[in-house]
Amino acid sequence: MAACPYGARRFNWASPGLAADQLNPETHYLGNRPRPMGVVEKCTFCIQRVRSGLYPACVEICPAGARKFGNLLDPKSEIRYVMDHKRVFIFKEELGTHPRFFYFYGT
Amino acid sequence: MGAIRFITGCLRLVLRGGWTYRVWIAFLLLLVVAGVQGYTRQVEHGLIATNMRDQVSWGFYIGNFTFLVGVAAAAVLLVIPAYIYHWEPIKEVVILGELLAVSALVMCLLFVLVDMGRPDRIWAILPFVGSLNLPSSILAWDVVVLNSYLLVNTVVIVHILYKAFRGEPYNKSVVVPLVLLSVPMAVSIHTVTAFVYNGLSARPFWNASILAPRFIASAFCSGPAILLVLFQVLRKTTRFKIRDEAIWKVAELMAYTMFFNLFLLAAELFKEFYSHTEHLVHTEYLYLGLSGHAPLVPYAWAALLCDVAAFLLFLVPTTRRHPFTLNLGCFLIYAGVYIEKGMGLILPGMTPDTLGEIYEYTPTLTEWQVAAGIFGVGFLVFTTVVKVAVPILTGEFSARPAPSGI
Repeated sequence: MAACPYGARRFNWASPGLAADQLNPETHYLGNRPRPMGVVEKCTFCIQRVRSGLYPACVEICPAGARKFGNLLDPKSEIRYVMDHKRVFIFKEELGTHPRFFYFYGT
Repeated sequence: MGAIRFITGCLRLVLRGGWTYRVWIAFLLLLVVAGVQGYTRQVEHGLIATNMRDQVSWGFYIGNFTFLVGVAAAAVLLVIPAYIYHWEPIKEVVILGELLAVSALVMCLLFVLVDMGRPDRIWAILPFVGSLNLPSSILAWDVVVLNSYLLVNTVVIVHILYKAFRGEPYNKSVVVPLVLLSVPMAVSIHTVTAFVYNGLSARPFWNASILAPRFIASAFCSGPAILLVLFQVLRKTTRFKIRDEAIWKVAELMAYTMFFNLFLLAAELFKEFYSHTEHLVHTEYLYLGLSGHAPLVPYAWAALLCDVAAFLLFLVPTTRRHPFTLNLGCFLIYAGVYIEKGMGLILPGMTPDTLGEIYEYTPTLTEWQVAAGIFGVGFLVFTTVVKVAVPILTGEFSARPAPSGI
């Protein structure tokens, strides 16, 4: 929280009170469930925007286009192009948590 | 057999006392009850019961924690001259400094505990069950040094008191190495706590190399300030003898450390204002106010005024030795450092936040209650242990029959 330079981390100060229609029920059991009270909330990749065909807000607003988001299984997607043509790495890969979050070099 | 008599004797001492003692204990218990009530509310509703939010995620609890780490570290100021230079007048009061350190540490650990969103997850850092994530986590280092310091001081106090109770000299081969070890440890607890802030590169107000030295300098003023008042109370109310020279010497040392504290502050203010970078906003928010947001300004100036006034009072030998100006100086130092190393350190670091938003934080009633409760616990620990320690040290409470003439 205190260390994040972008103010991106959000804490569940109270029990999260999301409306039922704000959540996508068509995910696996642990997908997009709000975290309990008293912990830092995880990013949902703006599920409400993605479901209506929009990019997550941080991707849309990034002035440099540094963020890419998409379906890794779609061979024609921008993210697939990045994965295949750029140097891509995973942060702290040695911990073996298999995140679906990749860093890539722009060059 | 001896240990049982020791424990029952201690309990008897704690439970008995004059009416001032009883009123004081009742008052502290009242604070604890208020604290428990506040904390129950916080557990039920979450940290929303506080006024901390995403913008200012460290508040009153962490401010008090930081200040009290300094108080705990300050016992070393008495230990160094007593054990290294064998300065006798201070030696007999060192144990009180260590008692203060233990009580302050209890409060520190409680303040961190109440600031946690999920205190039940503390098992995740316990050895063998969880992982401390050493050496990369600075918070883990803080956990290690604070708990080790608590352990070392507790062992020293219990050993010295138990041996004194039995009328035997304490075991030098145990106590002296531990006491000498506690000197670097006292410095380390405050340094590591400073590094917790210092290491945050996104918070320019704390990201200054001078932060850890400033922590140490201010701690060496505030800790002894409490002790000096206590010495005078004990001298009046018990047979515990504390020589004037000891009090004056501590006050003199405080004058030097306060000068150093003010010098470091001046160095930091010069760098901030002369270079006048974007990072100045936090210092401006503290001392001048930012576009009408100036809740901290009176406090910041009051702290500076207190520090300077106390420095002058302790620098001049006549005011240092006069009981009134001595106690006034202690109060000023306590108030000044409490602001400077409490809310005056935490809030400007978080305001404006990293995106430039200004969220004005003030503690809620719940936070006040919980903080009062924790101070109640700390003072209860301190009062009861002093109540036991003083008769032991004066020989009134002993395994052997009291020598005639007392």
